[in-house]
Parts: sequence; structure tokens; C-alpha cells
Amino acid sequence: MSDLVKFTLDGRELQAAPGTLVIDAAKKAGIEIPAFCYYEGLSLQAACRMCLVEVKGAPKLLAACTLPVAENMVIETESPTVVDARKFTLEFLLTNHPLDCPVCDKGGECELQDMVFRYGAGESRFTEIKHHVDEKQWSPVVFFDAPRCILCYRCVRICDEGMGVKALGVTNRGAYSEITPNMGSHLECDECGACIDICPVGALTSGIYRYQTRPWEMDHVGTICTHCGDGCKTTLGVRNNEIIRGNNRDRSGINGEFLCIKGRYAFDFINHPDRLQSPLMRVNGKLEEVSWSKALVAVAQKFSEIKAASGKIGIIGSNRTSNEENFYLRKFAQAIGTPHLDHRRTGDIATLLDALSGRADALATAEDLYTAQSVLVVGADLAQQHPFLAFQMRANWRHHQSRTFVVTQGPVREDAFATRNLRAEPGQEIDAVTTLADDLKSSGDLIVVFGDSIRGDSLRKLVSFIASLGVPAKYICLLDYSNSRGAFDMGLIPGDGGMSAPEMLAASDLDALWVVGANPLADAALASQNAFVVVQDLFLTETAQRADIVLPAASAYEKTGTVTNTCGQVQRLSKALNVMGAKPDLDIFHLIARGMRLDLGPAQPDKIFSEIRATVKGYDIPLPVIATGGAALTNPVNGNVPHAAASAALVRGSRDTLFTSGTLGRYSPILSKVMEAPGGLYRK
Amino acid sequence: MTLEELEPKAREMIGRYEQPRAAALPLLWLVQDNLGHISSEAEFWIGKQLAMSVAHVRELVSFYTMFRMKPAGRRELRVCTSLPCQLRGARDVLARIETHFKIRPGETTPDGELTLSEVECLCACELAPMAQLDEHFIGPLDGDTLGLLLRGSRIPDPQPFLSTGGPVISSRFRYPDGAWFETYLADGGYQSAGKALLHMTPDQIIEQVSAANLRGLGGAGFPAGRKWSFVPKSSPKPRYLVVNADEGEPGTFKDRYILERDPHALLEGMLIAARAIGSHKAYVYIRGEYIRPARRFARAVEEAYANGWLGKNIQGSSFDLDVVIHRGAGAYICGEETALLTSLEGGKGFPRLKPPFPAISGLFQSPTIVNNVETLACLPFILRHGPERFAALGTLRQGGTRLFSVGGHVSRPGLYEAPAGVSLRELIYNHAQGIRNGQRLKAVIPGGISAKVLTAEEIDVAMDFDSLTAAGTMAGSAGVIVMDESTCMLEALLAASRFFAHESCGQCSPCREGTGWIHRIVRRIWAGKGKPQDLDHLLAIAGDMEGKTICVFADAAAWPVQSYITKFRSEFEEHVHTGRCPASREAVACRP
Amino acid sequence: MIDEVIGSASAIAKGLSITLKEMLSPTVTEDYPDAPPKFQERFRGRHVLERDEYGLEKCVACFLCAAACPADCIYIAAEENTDRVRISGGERYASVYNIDYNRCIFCGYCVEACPTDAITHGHGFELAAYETSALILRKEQMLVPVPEGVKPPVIKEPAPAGH
Repeated sequence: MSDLVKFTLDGRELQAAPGTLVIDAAKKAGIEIPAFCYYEGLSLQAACRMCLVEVKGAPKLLAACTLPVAENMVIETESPTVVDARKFTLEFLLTNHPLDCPVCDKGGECELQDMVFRYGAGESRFTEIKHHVDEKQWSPVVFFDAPRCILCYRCVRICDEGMGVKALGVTNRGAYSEITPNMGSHLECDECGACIDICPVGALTSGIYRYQTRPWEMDHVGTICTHCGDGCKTTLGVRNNEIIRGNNRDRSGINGEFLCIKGRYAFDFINHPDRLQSPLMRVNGKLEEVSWSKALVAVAQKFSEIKAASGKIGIIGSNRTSNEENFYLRKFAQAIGTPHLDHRRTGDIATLLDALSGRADALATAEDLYTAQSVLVVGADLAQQHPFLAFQMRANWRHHQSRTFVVTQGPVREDAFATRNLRAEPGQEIDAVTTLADDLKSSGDLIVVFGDSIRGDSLRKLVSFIASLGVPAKYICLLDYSNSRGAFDMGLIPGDGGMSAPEMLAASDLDALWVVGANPLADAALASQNAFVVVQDLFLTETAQRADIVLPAASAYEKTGTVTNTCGQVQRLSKALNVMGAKPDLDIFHLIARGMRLDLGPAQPDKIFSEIRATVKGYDIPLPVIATGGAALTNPVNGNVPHAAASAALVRGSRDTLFTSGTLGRYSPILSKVMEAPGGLYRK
Repeated sequence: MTLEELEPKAREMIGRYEQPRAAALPLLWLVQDNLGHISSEAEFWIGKQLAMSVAHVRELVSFYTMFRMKPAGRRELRVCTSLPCQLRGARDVLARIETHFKIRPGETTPDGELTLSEVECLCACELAPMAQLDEHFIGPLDGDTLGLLLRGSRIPDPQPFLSTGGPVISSRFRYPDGAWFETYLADGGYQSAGKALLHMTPDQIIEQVSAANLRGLGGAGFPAGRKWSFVPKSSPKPRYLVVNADEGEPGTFKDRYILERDPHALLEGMLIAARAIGSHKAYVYIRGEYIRPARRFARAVEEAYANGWLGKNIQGSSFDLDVVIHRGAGAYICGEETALLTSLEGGKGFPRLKPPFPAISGLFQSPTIVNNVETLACLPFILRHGPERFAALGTLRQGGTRLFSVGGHVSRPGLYEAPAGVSLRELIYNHAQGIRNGQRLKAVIPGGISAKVLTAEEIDVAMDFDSLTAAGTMAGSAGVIVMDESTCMLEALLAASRFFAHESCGQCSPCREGTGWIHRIVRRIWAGKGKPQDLDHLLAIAGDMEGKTICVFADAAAWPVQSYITKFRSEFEEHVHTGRCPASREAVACRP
Repeated sequence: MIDEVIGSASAIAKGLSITLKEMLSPTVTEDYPDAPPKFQERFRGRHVLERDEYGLEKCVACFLCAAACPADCIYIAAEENTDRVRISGGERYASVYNIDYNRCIFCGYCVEACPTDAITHGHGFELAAYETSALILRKEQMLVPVPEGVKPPVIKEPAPAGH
């Protein structure tokens, strides 16, 4: 190609697109140019001076991180001058850096350690006293050890640019420069931990992981976060059957290295002291611990009795169980002949899919949010409720100058970069959206992201309005939990003549209610006094307290399977650990089915997934993609569900924020701690 | 005064700038001037006014040394202990002040009357040893003046020696209270500006200035005309003229006198430059400590507006120019042109990467020319008397005269206007009347503290940019620091290295860590704990910093180390090996 | 005949002279188990966990010994030192430090890897047991006693309830 720039790097003739930075071009060619402050996706700082290279004809060494390749440029990355410069830079960086690697959390995965090992001088000439500052705690999750900081400004930039929070600054100057949180002594921020994760050294450390172990001591299990519907991959560091930390440094998964506080830290509910570890059965009006076999026999017997008497069994499924479990539960419902099956709907995906029927490529993925030319957000506070989607939009604006339009009830963080932002009461957003017609028409391909207030007719109006613009458009219907979408697609909705969840609760003649991983009685009462209630959950929720039998369930981190995120992307869960006493819901279904002598086919997740691929519309996705930890988009119109079964009136968002996550959030010590810490107001 | 009451004023200040954030320093000054210090609430308030994160407001408060986070005393005494003042006894002055008021730098007297601080160069080396009492520069703090200060009596305005004979700049220095509009006009002022606006094209102006061999007198010596020609002719963006009045190079004090005594010459120069580059908005960045100069310059700007020499349609030429005065707040690095622009935009004074050069993308990402005060003040002369006459005053490649700030151990410290090619010997022995007390010359720094030192044998050199570069040093800002036989070169290096460690912005790691490292080694040697390898280490560290950073601050910090140690090695060796100072012959280090 | 007698006598004398010489030279045979055996200074026996001069544990739970161990026989759990509970000189300490002597091969890599000289080889060698579980030694079994006259600055207290 003629528009490529030709240059020579370490004697190799190379080509790259004009504007490519030398450091990137070298990386592509397999040549490492070491750097600390250079970070893909963030603004250029050129402060660490680690990436200096020799360019023929230049009077001095140049920073490869800010130097675009030029025609016939001759670059040396391993010449004696460059090697020396790196040695000196590292020596400078180490002058005030404590040599406490054995106790430093970063030891073993520290970029400074690696670089000194690879490029550093054997010994230092520095014999002066190091500048010392005591370690500070900024929040329940963020600790800062100033002397270890090498001032690469990565944390400041990821907070400013990546998160849009701008909570960190560098105060003072010269060697006394120090990262300082926005409140002086503490942080008021998203507590996402991105600053900790991005820190090349052990200056910022995590309150959760601190001093627990060393990086090489853990097994790293990549799985999908079980909190919101964005479907971020989180790599859990597991040691001794305990999750020590979560991050995604390898940038696998749709979210790259992004994680919010929930994905990074809020796995701690699994060890909450209130976690159920034994089945409970109501004896003389009180819940008592019983053995699994006794509990399962009791459930199977009771269900069989009710089935034989043609009684009404209502089943409320979960937004957090895997696709396989949801699919199996639906099969279960069919086998016992009950049409009363439902789950909590957090977005009107049913109407969207119906309104779009017949159109191709109408659903956007999380990646699309990063590449689209424009994004319209209607009725959703993305930064609070879907932090990863918000991050993608922000990155798109930073890197591609995409245009963003926001129509929300109150101010949102996206206002800061929105081309236009309008305020509208829930339910009246469409009127505001129509005033954007001209802007939207001229902004290129569009992604529409909408929340739970856009449903039924107003959603149809929105779709037809967008269609009238004549620009290519894709949609994301925001759903609030990790497998809300899967629950819908697997058909956890009423069959012919079936009752919806609120109807089940209101039916006075319900004979049994089976609640799997949900808490419908948190804000409603069960009308049927005599109903036999079975609850599968991790904790003794309001619903579980009313139960006759409670079966302790495993969380998403304790099982395998697949989940579908709010965009319709299917990803695989990996089992990180076992928890004593609890069983995956699938095993529980299987054991109850066996007790009832029902034949529901094999109960292994892999086999059920093959069945899903064969029978659920849109789920015929390439296996290798998810098997290797990728995300496969269900396509083009999803689900196992006729539209008639859905009712927009049932849609009710979770109202979760960055620091709440339904039942799991209530039992996450770190989320509670963060809410109670100074600056809790920020989080309300 | 409450923050709410400041709001209208704040809004007016924000309105002066293209981007709200650029009003950060003015707002911080507004708060500090009215409320005494910048409280945490004030930081939030400013953040709200400017749509800025409070974390970034706090960055500014802590970066600029003049901002206070805590209340100070009713009066503030800032004692300069930089090299030129140190040479003339600043240490003893500070010690006497400390003993008298019984406070240490950074403390306030118990009655809340006086806050004492020790500062780096205030650029008033002609008054050395000097201090700043609130807004007044006072000095020399020898017997009498120091006595007045300690007694709390009024201190008369100092009367240092100034050239008043011109020919180019200093002729109006003869008015101690400044040459105001009427005087300036009577003196033939604004004729050149009128000519430039009404009768000359931008290209003609650039041509004349190039022909005059006018070099950038801030220190880099880049030909002014050529710099202007880099501004893209057909950019849709506005163009800016930025005046660098952030004089900070220790040993230099020329711009202050132009601002105080001949402000209209600067304004006229600005008009000419603005016309040449097609700029309609000029920012004058004046260093924070220059309170009176800034006020005097502001008065001149008001006069110019009132007389139709600023504003819209100047003198019927349909040329517009607005001038905004922007005060710094105590950071040497802001004198570097890109750092100045970052600071002007409301950031910490972090130098930027070049390219892009400011002429292409500078202030607010628009084409910008940054010129020094003295450079601009030369322009009226060039246009009035013709480039040939200006060029003839100087050398082959540098036209005109220069204001030489001569300080240190000379008999008559002061500001001397002399042809660019004057010899250093002539400056010291003729203009400044030789070394004080009949001592012998030991060393001279010819261009501000960053320049490499010259020995007594090397002073037969012309002071123009090219000759000094050829002599292995630089003309820089023409701040001449003279040291006599009694000077301990280690102590001089200690002052220089402390200055650089204090002023490094901290952006690039070699400079941030290197300046501090060098300072710590020098201080250790000075304390009599030198090690045999120290001198070689110092030279090596200086070499390792040099040329590896975004701006040339690291190089400037390296040069003194290299030149002092190389040229006075035996003196340093004796310090290291015996712990004694060969210059002062005192036991264990130079001072008790 | 006489030659024979002389020959035999000299042979006996020669033999006995060796006996006599060995009788006078130091004994190499150990009297173990009646007396403790003697070891070369660098004998690598059962590990000893050291304390510093303040009685604090030298081990800061850096896990380098465990990483260096080719037999994977060292298990550590780390905890953070606080003002109230200070066990080691560094920021953290080993709340659990186990060595599984079923697997240890006494290679000394752990000692070499230790950045704080916390783990050393002692001369203990009586590592026979009736069951394998008894061969997993805990920190308390390997730690040297607090030197006499030294009181560690803070003694561990029970953690507050709910911790």
C-alpha cells in the first residue's frame, strides 16, 4: 500500500500507517520499548522518559511514545545510548522508591520490578536518604503509599479520562509531587479501583487484596461478573478455595480491563456469615436446618402431590442463574404442566424485539458502543447503572469524537461530553427525543440505549421515530442483572393461561410457589396463606423467611454455564471455588426432578447448552467463541418467546446504583463499607 | 467578604478568557486577596465556577508557591536566599531576621503580625540581599535597611543604579515613577505602532524585524522575525500573542524595570507584534511576585485603552487588540514558553511536548507567539529608526543593545544597557565598576543561573548569543552573577542545585529525581560528609539528566553542576577530602 | 622358624600399633542416641524461623520461599500488621507458616530465597513420625523463642468480634 510510511527499526524495514507512534509500531513488530506513563487509550504524558529511542539525525534521544513514524526514519531501540538512558531513568525512578518488594503487594507483577530486572543497572549510585511519606487510606478500597509512586500519572488519567470522575490530582511539585484524592484526606468516587489496577507499581493498593497473598500464589479464573447486566469479565484470583481479588488485567472479555467496584471487589458476599450452608425446613413454624436429602424429598413429595391434584404451582425464576439453569427450569415447568412461570422483568426487551422483527443487525454489542458515530441515551443513568456501557461511550467520545445525546430525568455524568442533553420526566422522554431529529440525522450511525421507562407503546414510538431518521441504528435495551436477558430468552415467562409473578403473589388459591434466586416478597405480600413455598437462594431473604423449605444455592462464581448480557452477548461462567453446603441451582432442579421421577434429560451445563443452541432462536452461536472466553452475540432476533407472553406493564428496573446490587449487594461487606465510609453521600 | 460576594467578579474574570479554566489562577488570586488564604471550601467553589474537578484545583494551589492553604500573618516577609542574594550575605540577613522575630521560615509570629518565608530568586538582584515585604521589594538589607525592617519602620524605596541613557530601551528609565502616556507620547511614543498599523503590511514588519537581527531576549535567542513567520497565514483559528513577563531566572531583573518604568514601550511593541502575526488578543503573563510592576502595567493598559491605542479599531486602522494581564503565582518553570501556556490555560506549569510548536498550536490549541518583554520593547525603536540602525548597534548576527542585569560581588550592581556585543570584562569593570572591596574576580555566570560558569581568565568574551555559545556557556537572560575570591564554589553550587530541586515541576522522572539527588549530594559534601566518588557521581548524574526531558530545565540544572565541578575541581576535591572550605579556610564546611 | 615368629610378632605389633594409634586419635563414631550427634555448621536440617533483636518475627510473608521450593512443601497465609497486632517488622506477617516434611528435600532454596533471613536450616533431623500429618510443622513449632529480656512491642490480642 502506498499510503503507509516506511521506516527502519533496529535495522528492520517496516511500514506503518501515518501517525502511528513509534512505540506502537515497535510493539507490532515484536520489539518492546519499555514505558511507564504510556498507556494505550489514555492521553500522552511523555513524563517517565523510559521509552527514549535514538533517531538518526535527531540531536538527542526522543520519546517513542509521542513520536509518530516518519518516512525513512531510522530508529534504534537497543543502541548503547538508549540502553544507558534506560538504566539511568530506572536509577532515577528508584532513588525515592523504597526497596520493599518482599512486602509490596505488587511484587511479582510490578512493572518497575520487571523493567529493572530487564533493563536496570546492577547497582545504584544512590546513597542518600529517601524521601518518606506515610501510607494513607483514602477509602475502604484504596490505599496509597506515596514513596512507591513513580508519578506516571496513569491513575490520574484513567480517573479523568476513562472514568470521567476526576477524583485524583497531583499536588506539590518536583520530587515532592504526590497523588492526592479529591477530598484531601479521602476519596469520593466510584471506588472502581481502576487507579489501583493501572498503577505500574505498588503505590495504590487494594483494601481487599492487600497483604493477602502474592500474585503467583493464586489461580486465575476468568468468569462473568454476577452483578449488573453489562456482562464484564472478571478474573478472580483464587487461593485455597477463596477469592482473593478480581481484576481483568489480561484485557480478555468484552470489557478489556474495565471493571467497576462490583466486578472488582463485590465478590465477598460469597463469604458472608449469613450465607446459607444447609437446607432449612419449617418445623413447627420455625425454619430448622435439615439434611439435603430430607429437604429434597420433602420438596419432591409436595410438588408431586400438588401436581397429582392438579394444583397451581407458581415458579419465579432468577435474573442471575445461568441460561442452562433457566432453560432447565422451563423444561421442569413444562414437565409438571404449570404455565405459571415468570421472572422479574427489568427492561422491555420483548417489545423491542417485536418492533424490530424482520430487521437485521438491530441489536448493538458493547463493542459497537465504542465505534458508533453517535449514541442516544434515553431514560438511563448509565454511569450509575451500567458503568461499563458508560465507559465504552466515554472512550468512544475520547478516541473517535462520537456525538452523544442524552435524554434523562436528572443530570448524568454523560452530560459532560454530550453534544446535547435534555431533561424529561420518565414516560415523556420520547417528546424530547423527537426534538433531536435534526442532530441525529446528521450524526451518522446511531446506537439507541434506553432504560426501563421506555416500554410498550413509547418504545414502539421510539423505534419508528428512529427508523424515520434514515440513519443506520442499533439498540441496547438496558436490563439490570447479569442474566436478565438470558432469563427472558430461555422463556421464564408465563405460558398459555399462566400467571405473571405479581399475579402469582396475588392469587389466593396458589398451592405452591417456587422461587429460584429472587426476592419477590421484598416489596409484596403472598396472598395465598397455605401455599407451599420453596426458595433457592444464597441468603435468608424476605422471601426465604416465608418459605417452607429453603435450599442453599451456589452463586455464579461457584458454577459453570453461560449468561447473556444486556446487549445479548453470551459468555461463559467458570467455576472459581466450592462453597460448603450450597449446590448449583441446576443440581437442585435435577435432584428435585429425580425425586419426582421426571425425565428432563441430562443435567450437565454443556449438554444443556447444546440443547439451547439447537432449540432457542438466536442462540445458534459459534461454540469456539464462548469456549475460549469470548462473547457471542445472539442474532438477530432472540429468544424462545412469543411476544404475546410479555407485558410491558410488568417491566420494573432494579434501581440499583454503582454501590447496590439487589440481594447480593446487601450481603457484600465491601459495598456496605463503601456506602458508610466518608463521602457516602456521593453514593446515594 | 464571602465567596458568594466574589461571584460577580469571578464571572467577569471568566469572561475574559476563551476557556473558563484559564481563569483558574485569577480566581485563586481573587480568593486569596480577599479572604487571605484558599480554604478547602474555596477550592470547591472555584471548581464549581470553572467546571473543574476539585482535585485539579488543589493541584494548582499546591503547585504555585504563592498560594496559601492556611491563613498567614498580616504582613508577609519573603526573604530571597538565591545565589545572587546569598553572595551578598542573604544567609546572615535571614538568620538575623529569624533571631529578631523568633520564628523560622514558614512560621508566623505569635501575635499574627508577620509570616516569614524563605524564597528562591525574586529577580531583584540589584537590591541583594533583598526581601519582599508584602508587595514591596526592599534592599539591600545591609545595616541600615535591615535595622528599619526589624524595627518595623517605613523603608524608603531603594535607588539602585540603572542605565538611563538608552539608546534603545533604557532612555525612559529616568522617570522613577514610570513614563506614563503623556510622557511616552511626548517622547515620540506610538509613532512606530501607528506606522505599523496604518502603513505597513505584516510581511513588511516581519521583514524589518528580521533585518534588524532582533533575537529573542528571554534567553533562547531565537530570531524574532523568523519565529513570527512560522504562524500559519491561513488558519481559521484565532492567533494569540503572549508576553512572557514571568521573569524568574536568578540574576535577571530587566523585565521588571520595563514593566514599571516604560510600560508603554512594551504595549507599543505588542501592538507591532500583534499586527505582524495578525493577533487580536494578547495575554501578558507577569510573575506573581511582581505585584507593583503588574499594577503599573495595568495602569498603562488603561491609559492605552482610554487613548485609543488598544481596543477596537485602533487609531482608525480597523485593527483590534485586547490585552489581558494574567498573574502567575510563583513557579520558575512557567517562564518556559510551553509551561507558560499550560499555566495560562489553568493548569500546573507543565511544559509541553514540541512539536507542535506554539506558533502552530499553542494557547487554546491556536497559533501563538510567545515573546519576552524586552524583545517586544525593542520593536518601537526598530520601526522608528529603521532596522539598519538597530542592527548596527549589535554584532553581525544580533542587533541592538541588551539590558544586562549585573549582580553579585560588583561594586555597583545594576541594570546596564549596552550593545549586544559588549565584552564581559567591560561590563564588570567599566559599567559595574569592578569587584567590590578591591577583591579579585573568581568566576562569572554570564546568563542567569542556568548558564555555565566562566572563570576569571575567560571574561574577555563578547556577550552576544553566538559568542557566549562559542565560549561554552550561554547568554541566556543576560543576568550576570559575579563572584569574587571569597566565594565558595561548593556553596554557590549548593544554592544553584537547591534552586533547581525546588523549581523542577516534577513531570519528567530524570529531572524530578535528578535535581533532588544532586542537591542532596551537594548538601552532604557541604556538611563535610563528602565521599571520594561524589564528584564523579555528580558529573554522571548531571550528564544522565541532560537532554532526556521534555523541556530544557533538566539541562539547565545539569550545566552548573558540570561547569562548577570541572572548572573548580580542586576546590571541590578539597571539600570532599578534608571537609574544609579552601575559599573561606573555615573548618568543616564553608559555614558553621 | 624364628623368622616365622619374628614375622608374626611384627605383624601383630604392626596391627596393634594401628589400633593404638586409633585409640589415641579422636572418635568419629557418634554416640547417638545416647549423646547428641555433632553436625557440620552448614548441615541442612529442620528449618528454624528467626526473630529480630526486638523479638519480632523476621518473616514478612513474602512467599518467596514457597515460590522457590521445588517440592512445593511450604504453605503461608499472610496478614497485615497493625498498631495493635504487630508480629513482624514489615507491613505483614505470616499468620500461618507450614512446612510439609513429607515432601521437603532439604535443598536449601528457601533459605537462599529469603530476603529477610527469616528462615534458616537448623540441625534438627529427628523427623520420624507414625503418621504423615505429624510431619507438617506449624510456624509455632519452628519459631525460635523470644530472646530473653526482650518483649515484643505489641502482643497479639484477639480480633474484635465480627472481624
